[in-house]
Amino acid sequence: MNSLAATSTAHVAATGVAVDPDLAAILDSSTDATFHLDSAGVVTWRNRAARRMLGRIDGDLVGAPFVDALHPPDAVRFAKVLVQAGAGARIDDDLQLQLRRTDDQVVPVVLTLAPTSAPGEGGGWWVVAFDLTERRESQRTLAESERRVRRSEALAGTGTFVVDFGASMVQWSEGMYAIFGVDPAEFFPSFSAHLDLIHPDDQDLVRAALAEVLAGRTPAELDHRARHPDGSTVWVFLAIEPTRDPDGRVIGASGVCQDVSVRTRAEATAREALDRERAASEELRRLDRAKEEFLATVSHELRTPLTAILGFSSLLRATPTEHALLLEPIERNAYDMHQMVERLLDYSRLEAGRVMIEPRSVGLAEQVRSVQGQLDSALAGRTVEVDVPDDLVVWADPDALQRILVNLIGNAAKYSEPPGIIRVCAGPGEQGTVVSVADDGPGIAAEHQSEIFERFFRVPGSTRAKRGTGVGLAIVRQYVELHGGRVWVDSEPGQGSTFRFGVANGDGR
Amino acid sequence: MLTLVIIDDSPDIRLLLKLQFAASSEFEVCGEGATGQEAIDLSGRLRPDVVLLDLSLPDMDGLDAVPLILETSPRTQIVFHSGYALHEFAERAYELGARGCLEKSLRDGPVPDRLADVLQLGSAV
Repeated sequence: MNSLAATSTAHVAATGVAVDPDLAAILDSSTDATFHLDSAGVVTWRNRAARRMLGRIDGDLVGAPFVDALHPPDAVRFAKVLVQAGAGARIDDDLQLQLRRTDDQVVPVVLTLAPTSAPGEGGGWWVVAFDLTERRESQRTLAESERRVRRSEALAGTGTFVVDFGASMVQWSEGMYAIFGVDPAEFFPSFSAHLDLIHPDDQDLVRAALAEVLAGRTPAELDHRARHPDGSTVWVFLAIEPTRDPDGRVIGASGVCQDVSVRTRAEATAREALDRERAASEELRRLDRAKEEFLATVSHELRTPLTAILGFSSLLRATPTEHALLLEPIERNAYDMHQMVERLLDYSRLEAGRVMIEPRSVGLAEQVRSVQGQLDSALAGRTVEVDVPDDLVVWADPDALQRILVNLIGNAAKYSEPPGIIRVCAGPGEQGTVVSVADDGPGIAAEHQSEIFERFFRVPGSTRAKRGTGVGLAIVRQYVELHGGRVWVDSEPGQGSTFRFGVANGDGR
Repeated sequence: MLTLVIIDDSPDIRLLLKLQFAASSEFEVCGEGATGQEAIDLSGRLRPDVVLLDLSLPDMDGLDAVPLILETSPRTQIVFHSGYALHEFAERAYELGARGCLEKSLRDGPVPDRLADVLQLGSAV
């Protein structure tokens, strides 16, 4: 018998019970599997969905006991139900069993059993099987999804909650209990219970935000502290927004909480560190200012007595005296001190950013000669070789250029012992002209060469304890940089030092 | 010869300046004092051509003395002579009516010469 022929006779039960053709057509269109059983539980008819569900070819089941279509462990159970139902017992309306397909796969179903006529009168049964596969799948998916949510909540330290005004109900996700440190078995979430868990100092803040949300004005986000029953405190980020009915009325709220203690602590630590750093740097700036002021004050307070000493000694020198020999060291030392004070003043002016340069064309050779004159006593016993063309004109502030040269040539004198040789040269180079001042002194170790232009830097362990303020080269650098140039040194211990700086050419050359 | 009043609270500086100006053919010291009040009094009494004024005085700031001196002796030219760096006070000094400012420094030469420069003596102005 082929399946087409079988379909045409399907409504004629094997036992001769006929199923109304209209009913058969209706049932065939259903997606639920429907079986007609005789009073003995033998299948007399089934619809198309039943055939599909069982994967059986037509005729396999018709004429056979329905239990044959069941997963063996369920067969006995169904047989009992059928017997009890036949005896008039109440029929379980949620009979979950498993059908066995011809490929031996099982299909979870819920069976509905109904007598075709009054029980006990030899009538049969209608059995409708609803395939639970999809529902089970959905349930599994849902369970899986819930598990993921729980996992995410646990990982992120988040929790969600829903407030329903109508039902006076508050629902918490598992994460909420963890955040607030309460036991889901003991804690019953409610609006007031939630508020009670919030730190007393933050309750007003949260209440105010909630009032805004519940008035439907705005969603709110805020950080608040929460007290755990064990007494510890956590920081909680709370975001809450109103939920509305289709008419726009606020009927509740939903929100998210997150334990941000770690982040908040890290932020607080970072903030404290930053504050400490700011305070420290402010203190350093204050000390720096105090030092600058001190330097400036000391310098001009020193100027007055020095002016007197040098002024009188110079007058005395012009007067014939038998004490000329004694006068010389007084004058020389006072002059050294005067140079130091001038340097400190220079330095404090430069540091204060109060020096404005006015570059113009200046004859370099003339400037060098003038500086040699100023340093006459410091240069005593040294030979100064100058190789600067008389017509070389540079673009510089004459006063600043003098300070640069005084410091560099003065330094060269300081660090070379008589009969040392100091060479002052100038030639084409970066910016236009490079001026160099070389001495045959002790030289500077490579590791200190970049530091010597820092203020107050003295080469450590220097065997020649040279007097000075430690600002000379810092002044040189500042003046050179004010002219847009740079200053650098080439030196090797034992080989002397050569300081060079670049300066633009004057007269447009 | 211009008449000159020297105001400085250091007697040594006053003596030094007097000795330096003694050799000058351009200035004649006609008075000296140590305070701002003396500067004002001497200016009113002597009407000097020039007052060489220290900036820090025991009784007042030299700058505050400028208008008071000019009030008593409008034709007097006031020149500051101070241990302070020029940039710290020169601008304000000129605003108040000072004619010039000198730093107490040997760098730029003897005071009489520098004072003559500041007052542009011997120039064509």
